Amino acid sequence: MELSEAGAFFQAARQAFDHAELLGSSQQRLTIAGEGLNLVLAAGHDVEAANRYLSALAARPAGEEGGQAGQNLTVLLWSAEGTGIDLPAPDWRSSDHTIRGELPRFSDGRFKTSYNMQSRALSAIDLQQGLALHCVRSFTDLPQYEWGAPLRDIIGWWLSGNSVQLIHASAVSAFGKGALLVGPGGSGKSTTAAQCLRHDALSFIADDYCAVSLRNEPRIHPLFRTSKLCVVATQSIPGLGAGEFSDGTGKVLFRLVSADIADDVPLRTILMPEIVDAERSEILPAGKGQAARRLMPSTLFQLPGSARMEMALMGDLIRRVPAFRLRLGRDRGNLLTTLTEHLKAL
Amino acid sequence: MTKVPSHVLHEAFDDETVVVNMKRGHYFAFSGKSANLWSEIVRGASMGDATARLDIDSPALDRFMRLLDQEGLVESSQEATEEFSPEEWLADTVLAGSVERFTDIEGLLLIDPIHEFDQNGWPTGQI
Repeated sequence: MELSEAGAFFQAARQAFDHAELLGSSQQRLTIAGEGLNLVLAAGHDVEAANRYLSALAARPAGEEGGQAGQNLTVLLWSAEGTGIDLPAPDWRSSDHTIRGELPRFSDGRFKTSYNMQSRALSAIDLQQGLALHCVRSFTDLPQYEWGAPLRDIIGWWLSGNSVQLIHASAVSAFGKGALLVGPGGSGKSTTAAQCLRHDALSFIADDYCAVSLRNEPRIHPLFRTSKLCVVATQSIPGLGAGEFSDGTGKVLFRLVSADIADDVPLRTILMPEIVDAERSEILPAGKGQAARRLMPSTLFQLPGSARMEMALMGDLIRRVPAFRLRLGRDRGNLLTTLTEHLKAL
Repeated sequence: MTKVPSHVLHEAFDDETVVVNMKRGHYFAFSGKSANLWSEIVRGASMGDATARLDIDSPALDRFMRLLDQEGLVESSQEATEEFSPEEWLADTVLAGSVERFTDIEGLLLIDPIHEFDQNGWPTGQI
């Protein structure tokens, strides 16, 4: 059967990986968001940076969770500079890119392709085969946002086929109940999540991106072991250590250890943080529409995927989970108590 | 019949309907009469029936439809005769308080598409 244009491009890129792999490769079998992930990294002179990049995945070694680890999705990775093998020359114009980095001409029901011009990273997936490709120019000069969320596009495409939605939100938990923190940049969601690190009752799950499964009861899954914070905000978080990868906007990326990240939990509340001029924090009921406006547009415009399906999944999520305004006061201790009490009462 | 183009996504909740224009990066919250009107458009209802059902007069409906067209939220066969600013839309007496327009995501769409290419023809994102 003749391959589509998307399929032909995928096959050509796959052949480039096969050449890159001639010098050898290493494998990691992991589980992320309950799904198996088999990473195959072609050996190159930047392999150390590549492994560091992949270590930001909030994944567990296959078998720890008893799932189908390593059988679900295989991702073939290489860097053009590290291996000396580039991608096939592209046959598209800059106008072929959508704002989300997708290449519609090279995407169809079976194949998805995106290219990030800033990080010069190509991501492609064959959903039918459970096979993905990720090629970057070099693993040593990736921008901060790539280090914070490796393989984001591929993971998003893969999970969405299993009713798991990648969303733009931070997340915390307590008493086995999870809270999503949704809102635009600067609303306080990252700082609130980071305040929960190493707290007695509260736990950090995710900053910026996480996954929510909607197969049965909605559950939050961590995806990345990173937190991006304003330098000023980090001063109130004990033991956070030094950050890395400042992006020039005053935000610094922190790598977290696996003990910092809580396991997946049932999603019980959607919180919309807003910084207020008050000492004490408070949580007030909010409308579903307001929650939708906080969650949907920023997720839709940042993450490749089937926007229509994502919108429907997020609509389902918002209808099933209560939403609240989280008015963030200055008193950190009071914020943490307010959050703890809110989750305990749900 | 008025059609909603494929780049416009929408979800209705109890309190409001969220409508996203994926091409322009704008999104809208419709409540009350504007949410009801949007619902009629989505289900392909006759606008004549809609005006009667929703107690909205024809000039107001016509104005609403042309504004939706101007914002790229519908594909209308009507020819635009005048343009309204978003402020005029939001201040419309019939729809006052039932339409909110948000542009905070628009910045993501304004990233300059002009860039260089490397020796293999890959765009680099550098201007």
